[in-house]
Amino acid sequence: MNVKETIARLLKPAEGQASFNRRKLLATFSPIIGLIALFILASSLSDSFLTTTNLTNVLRQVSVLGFASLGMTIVILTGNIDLSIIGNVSMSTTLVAVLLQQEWPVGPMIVVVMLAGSLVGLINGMILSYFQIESFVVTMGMQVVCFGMSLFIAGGRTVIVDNLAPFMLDLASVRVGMVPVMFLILLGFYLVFFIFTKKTRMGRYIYALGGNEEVCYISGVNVTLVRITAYVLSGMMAAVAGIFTFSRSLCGDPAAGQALGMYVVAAVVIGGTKMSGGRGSVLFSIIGILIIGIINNTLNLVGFQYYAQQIIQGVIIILAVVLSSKRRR
Amino acid sequence: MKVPLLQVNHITKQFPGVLALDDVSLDLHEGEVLCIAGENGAGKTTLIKILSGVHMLDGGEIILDGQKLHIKTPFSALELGFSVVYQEHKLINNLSVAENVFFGRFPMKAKAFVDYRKLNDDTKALLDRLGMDIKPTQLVSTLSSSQSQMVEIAKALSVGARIMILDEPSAAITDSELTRLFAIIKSLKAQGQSFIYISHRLNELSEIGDRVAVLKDGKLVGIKDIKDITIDRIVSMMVGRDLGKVFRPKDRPVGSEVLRVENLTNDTVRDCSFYIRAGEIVGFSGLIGSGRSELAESIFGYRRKKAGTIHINGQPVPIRSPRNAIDRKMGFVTEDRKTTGVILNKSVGENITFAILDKLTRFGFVDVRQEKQLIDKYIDQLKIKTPSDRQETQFLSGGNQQKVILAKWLLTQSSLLICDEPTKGIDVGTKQEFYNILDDLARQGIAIMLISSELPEVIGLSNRIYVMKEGTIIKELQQGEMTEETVAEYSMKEAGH
Repeated sequence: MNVKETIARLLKPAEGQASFNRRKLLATFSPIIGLIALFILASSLSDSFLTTTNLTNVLRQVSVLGFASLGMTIVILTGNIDLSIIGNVSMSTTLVAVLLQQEWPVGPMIVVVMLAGSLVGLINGMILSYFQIESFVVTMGMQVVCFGMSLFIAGGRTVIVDNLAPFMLDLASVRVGMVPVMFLILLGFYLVFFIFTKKTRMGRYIYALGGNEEVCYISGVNVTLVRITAYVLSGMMAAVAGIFTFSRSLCGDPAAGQALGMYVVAAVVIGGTKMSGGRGSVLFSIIGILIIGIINNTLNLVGFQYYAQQIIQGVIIILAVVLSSKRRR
Repeated sequence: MKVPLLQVNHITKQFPGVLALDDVSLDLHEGEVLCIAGENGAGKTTLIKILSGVHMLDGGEIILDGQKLHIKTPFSALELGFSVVYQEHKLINNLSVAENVFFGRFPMKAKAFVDYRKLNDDTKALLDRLGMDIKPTQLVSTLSSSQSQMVEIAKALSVGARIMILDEPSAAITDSELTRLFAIIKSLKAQGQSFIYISHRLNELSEIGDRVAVLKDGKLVGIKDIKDITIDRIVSMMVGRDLGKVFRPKDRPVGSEVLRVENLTNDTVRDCSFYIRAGEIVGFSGLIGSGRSELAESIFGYRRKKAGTIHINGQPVPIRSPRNAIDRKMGFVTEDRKTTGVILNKSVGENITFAILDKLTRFGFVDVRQEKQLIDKYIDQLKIKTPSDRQETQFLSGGNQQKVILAKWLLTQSSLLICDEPTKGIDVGTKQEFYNILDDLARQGIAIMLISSELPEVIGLSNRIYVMKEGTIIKELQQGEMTEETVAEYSMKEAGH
């Protein structure tokens, strides 16, 4: 904190405009600085951190979180939240497993799973728009529904699939150099969503909805359509996360999404996107997932007990959020 | 001469970009009513907020009873003896009168239970002192606005206020209720209570005040004994120039009818009918709560209609949402900039083009180059003061934010512009600019519905004025009949007269 204040003082601005731009710059870059610091810390704490195997592994681990966080970012930008993502990931994973077990070809399977995920988002968006209620409560309920659905789809136990298509077998393991292909796909999605949110009209409306819904409505924006779009995209990304969850474990675990837990929200907020909406960027969330990934990885390497890991992770998340709110004041 | 109860010496208050109070000194004696007059933005509100602990002063001192005060919080202001009765009441609606009067200071039994008998008896005693015939157990939500005001006064008395500050007490009550309020002020005054009285209605001042302090642009213009000064003199002190020059002559060419509203009824207004022609500015006057904003909201599709029809250019049109209204070439500059006007954390440019993005979009992507041209054009045309079009709108002054909203509705090529209190909280210079802009727009053939609580403004700009009271239009005033007196008279007329 002190370092940050000193930097702020050194950059001491004269006018409101300059002060604002520098503050904004600082807000954008402090997660990146945090990530670099964390990277250096992790390398010094464990010798095995800076190995190709480990780093590749970290990238693979954060990918699933990355797909889920991408959808979450879009929804958070509109000033809402989507807790159903976690359940949706479980549901999608089991759906992938069951469809593959019934020997569906990979292409149609992916389409159906993504449609199912999007449908969850559509229902969320419609309920929220029609009844005008808190997204927290509605999507929490939807999360439970999705967990129930995954148990139903999986028949109450983990689905084992025989005779997997080579595509599914390789999806998680293929690499380009040391970078797993699934991480490259993730970056591709982030790039597309970045352009979508920054350059298209719908993207503008998504930010604007988080900025002030009343102004959107008075200015003739179809607020319902914008909200539903955000939730459908979120649901679709949860399905993508589900497909990659399956590719990593190669089985349909109905509890798979629970491992993501609140990391999905934490990654977005640590990245610097504001929970109140209208401020932030999908690109920030890449930083967020990398920070979370490195923390988890380091705690493992250093050999903390599971309970200690949990406590430390929790504290770090709270700390990151506290810092991120301070720097915007 | 007695030592004053309160001395305010050389206080200043700086807000970003505005010196809200500039070396202002006042004094107030025991049992005196000191009136404060000034235009919006003159610094009256800032002064009250300093005395009531909402804002800290930047320079100067406040002395009460010879003691220098440090008012740090609203709570400490209350303890020191400053009570404010605000224009919009700050009572808790779902609690009883007695609970409100003694809120936070309930008499207790055994340190754990509220002593309701004592609470209600004490409240009854206070209400009797004010000559109020309401039950201490009545819910505040069932009170009229004048009764709520009395409850606030009772509350101030119960705290032992040394100085009672009344902020626009006459804004939302009828003439006869005002007479009763004056009687109460006079009787409390005889008991030694001191008041600071703020009102836009200058003729009230001579009736109730002892002295008047006039503020303009944060500076004290002067303090005069009421009996030595005329209302005209107060006005010229407030404005600093002749009122006549503020407004241009109304020789605008008037065209055909743009808007006709017939028997519009919603949850607040009923049976409102009126029309506006191209090139006309039509004023809507009335007290706060008379239904002017609600009427405008229904015309724009922002508030549900129960009955009535809206005609645009002679055609009846269904308007169910702002989208429909915008498609019919309407624009709506709402009363509350921050909640319904601009998106504060978005840039000036994005706010300006926000309502026409659909026309700037190619294959889903915003045409940034074309957008930038339009933004620059309007920043230039309306003289919006901003370091760049990428500045977040929250960093602009109120007047410039208002121009951003206006630019948004000009870009949609509105032929009907609804302006709800367009100059609220804007400094005098920018106000003048707005008056000229509205006049220019009308001259270009735009029909303007102007809702304003500032009588000189409505009278100075409008071709005609509709006066509203309790949800209905009770009078249409033509050019020759528009004076502050007639407008005020109709807005407050008792039902049945």
